[in-house]
Amino acid sequence: MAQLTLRIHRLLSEGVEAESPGLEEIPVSFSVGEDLKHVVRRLATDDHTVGSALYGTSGQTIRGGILVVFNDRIINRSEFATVAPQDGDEVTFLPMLDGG
Amino acid sequence: MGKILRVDLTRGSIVEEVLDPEIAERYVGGSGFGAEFLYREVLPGVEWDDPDNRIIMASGPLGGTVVSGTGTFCLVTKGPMTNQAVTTQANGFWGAFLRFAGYDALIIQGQSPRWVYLHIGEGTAELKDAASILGKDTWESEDAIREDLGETKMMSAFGIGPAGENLVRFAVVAGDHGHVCSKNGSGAVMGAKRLKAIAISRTKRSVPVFDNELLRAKAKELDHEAKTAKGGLLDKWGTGGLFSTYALAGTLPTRNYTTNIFPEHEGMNGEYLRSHFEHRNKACWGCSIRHTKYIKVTDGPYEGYEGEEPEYENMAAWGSVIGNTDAGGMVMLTNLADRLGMDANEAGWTIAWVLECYEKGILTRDDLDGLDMRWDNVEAVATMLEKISRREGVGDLLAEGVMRASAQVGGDAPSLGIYVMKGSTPRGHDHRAVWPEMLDTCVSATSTIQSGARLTSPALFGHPPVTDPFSPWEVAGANAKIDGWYVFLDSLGICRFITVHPQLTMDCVNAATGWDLSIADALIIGRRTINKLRVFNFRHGLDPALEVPSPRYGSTPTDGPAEGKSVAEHFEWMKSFYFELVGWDRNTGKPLAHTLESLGLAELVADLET
Repeated sequence: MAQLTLRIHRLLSEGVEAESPGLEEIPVSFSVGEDLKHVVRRLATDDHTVGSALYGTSGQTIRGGILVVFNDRIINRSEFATVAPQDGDEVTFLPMLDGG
Repeated sequence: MGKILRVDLTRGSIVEEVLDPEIAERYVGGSGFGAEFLYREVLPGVEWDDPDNRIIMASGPLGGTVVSGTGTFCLVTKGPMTNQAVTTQANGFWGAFLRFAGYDALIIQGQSPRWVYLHIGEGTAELKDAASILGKDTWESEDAIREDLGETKMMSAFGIGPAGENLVRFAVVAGDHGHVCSKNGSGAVMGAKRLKAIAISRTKRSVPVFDNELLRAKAKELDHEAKTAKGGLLDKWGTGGLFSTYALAGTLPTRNYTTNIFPEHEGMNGEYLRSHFEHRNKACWGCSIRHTKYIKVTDGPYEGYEGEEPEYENMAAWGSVIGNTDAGGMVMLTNLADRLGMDANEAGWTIAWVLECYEKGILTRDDLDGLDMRWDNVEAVATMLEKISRREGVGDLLAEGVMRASAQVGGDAPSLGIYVMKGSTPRGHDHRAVWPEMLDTCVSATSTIQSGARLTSPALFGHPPVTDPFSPWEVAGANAKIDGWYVFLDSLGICRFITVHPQLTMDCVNAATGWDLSIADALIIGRRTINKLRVFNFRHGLDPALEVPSPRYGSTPTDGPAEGKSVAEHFEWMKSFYFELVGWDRNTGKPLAHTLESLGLAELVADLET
C-alpha cells in the first residue's frame, strides 16, 4: 500500500471554530493504480467529517466553492478520475474565499 | 427628512439642503447618493483636479444605528488614476458621527484659496485654517485637529497626509487611526481642493429608525452570523487569518507576480502576528467583532514599533509583493504608508515594479536617488515611500503610479507593471489565480471591486457555487449574477464584514427605514448605481478597450498552484460574455437602452448617445 497526505482547510468543515485557520492533515493509504477520485471517495465514506466537508449533503460530487490542489498544483475536478497518485503525494482542499 | 451639507470651498460657504426623498428611495445612501450627485454635478470636461469636481461622502440608512459596524461611509468622486468615477468606503466612526450631526451626505465643491479643514459639531459647521497642520501625517493631523479645537469628547477626522497634499495620484483619505478610503486617489482630489481634513464631533443626537425593537432583534441575529462566519476567523485572526490560505491557493501576490510561491507565509500571517506580537482592540463604531487591532512588534529589527495591525491588503503589499519576509518590517511599512496617506495596493505594486526593474538593470541606483532597491530591503522601501509622498527626486515619477511611471521609463518597463490598462489598481491578490476578481477589477465602474462574486457565497443568493475557477463561462456568470449586491451594501453605511447574511441585512434595512425591500430590489438598486457610474465614465472618456489587464497582470503563472493557467487567452471572451449578461453591448460595453430603462434610468439613454 502507498500513502498520500490529504489536507483539508478547517473552514470547509461545517460549524468548526477556527482555533487555527490552517489545515487538518489526514494520511490515506491506497493501492498504486487507484485514481484520486476513488481514494478521496473512499475516505469520505469512512470518515463522516471528511465526507461532509467535501461532498456536503449530495454525497455524489465534490461540492462547489472548493479548490483542489494536487502536489501544489490546482487541478480541475474533471481531472480527478485521471490522476493516479503516487506514494508521498499530497492533495489539499481549500475554500474559494476572500480576505481584507 | 434627510439633510445634505454642501461646502463650497471657493466661496467659503456652507449650506444645508433637504435631501430629495426620491433620491433616498432610488439610491438609498452611500455609493448610490455619490453616483447620483456626481452624475448631476460633474459634467464632461471637468477633470479630477478641477474645482468643479465633487467629493461626496455619505453614510446610509444603517449608519449610526444599533447594527454592528455602522460607522462606515462611502466617498465618491472623479479620481486621478482613471480620471473617472470612484466609490471607495472606509470603516471607523465617521459615518455614524455624520448622521449624529444630522446629515446623510456631505458634498464638497470648489477649491479653497488657502489650506483649511472642516469641522462639524453640534449644530455647527465651520471651515478652519489648516496652516498649522500642513505636512503632518494622517494620524498626527487627527491629533492636531483635536488639540486645535480643544475637543475632549469623541471626534472622528478623515483627511489627507503629505501624499494628498502633494497630489500623489494614489493618495488616500484616511482617518480614525488607520481606516482608509483607498481607491483612485481620493486623497489627491481632496489635496487639489486644499482641504486637509473633515472632523466631526460626536453630538448628543441619535439616528431615527422606523422600528427600533425589530431593528435590535435583527441586528442581534446579523451580529451572530457575522461573528461566527468562517468559523469566527475574522474575530480571532483578522483578515490576515487567510494569508496562508492564499499562499496555498496560489493567490498570494509574490515579488511583483514573478513567482507564485512564498514559503515564508507562516511567519507573516494573522495567526503569527497575534501569537507573537502584543495587541489590543481597536474597534469601529458599535462593532462587536473588533477585527482590527493595535499592535506592538516584540522582536526582530523593528522591536518596539507600535501601530495598527496590518490588514490582509497591507500584509500582501508590504510582505509578499515586495519580497519582504520580516513581519515587523511589514508592520512598520503598513503604518508608514497609511500615515503618509497612500493606497497600500498601488504603492505596493509601484515599489515592487521598482524592485524588479532594479534587479533587471532597467533602473539603476543612480536612477533611484542612490537607494539600493533590492528585494527585501525594507529600509530602502521606507525611504522611497517618504520620497513619493513629497514628490522628491525619483519620488515625483513614482507618485504617478506604476502605469504612468513605467510608460515614462519605457522599454520593457511597462510590461512588468501590475495595473489595469485604464489606470485602476488591482487589490492585493494574484488575480491570475482568481479570475472573477481580475474581470471585476478591469470592468468595474467603481474603480475597485464591484461584483465581489468571490466574496460572498453564491448559495446565499440561491445560485450554485463556482466549480471551476478557471472556466470563463462560470466566472463571467458568477460575477453577473450578484452584480449590484456589493454596491448596494456600500449604500447602507455598514461594514462589509457584518453583512454576511443577505436576508438579515435586508431585514435590518427594512426595520430601520420602514421600507419593504427584497434582495432582488437591492440588486436592482445596486445595478442602478453601477449603470449610472458606467454612463458617467463613458461621458468622461472611458475606452472599454482599456478594460483589460496589463501584460504582467494578465500573464500566465510560471510556477506555483496556478502554473500554466492562462487568463489572457480567455479574457476578451469572458469580458464580452459578462457585458452581455449584465445588459451591456457585447462589443462596446455600453449599457443598452432597455437595460437603462429597466433600471429607471431612461434619461441616461440620450446622454450615452451624445
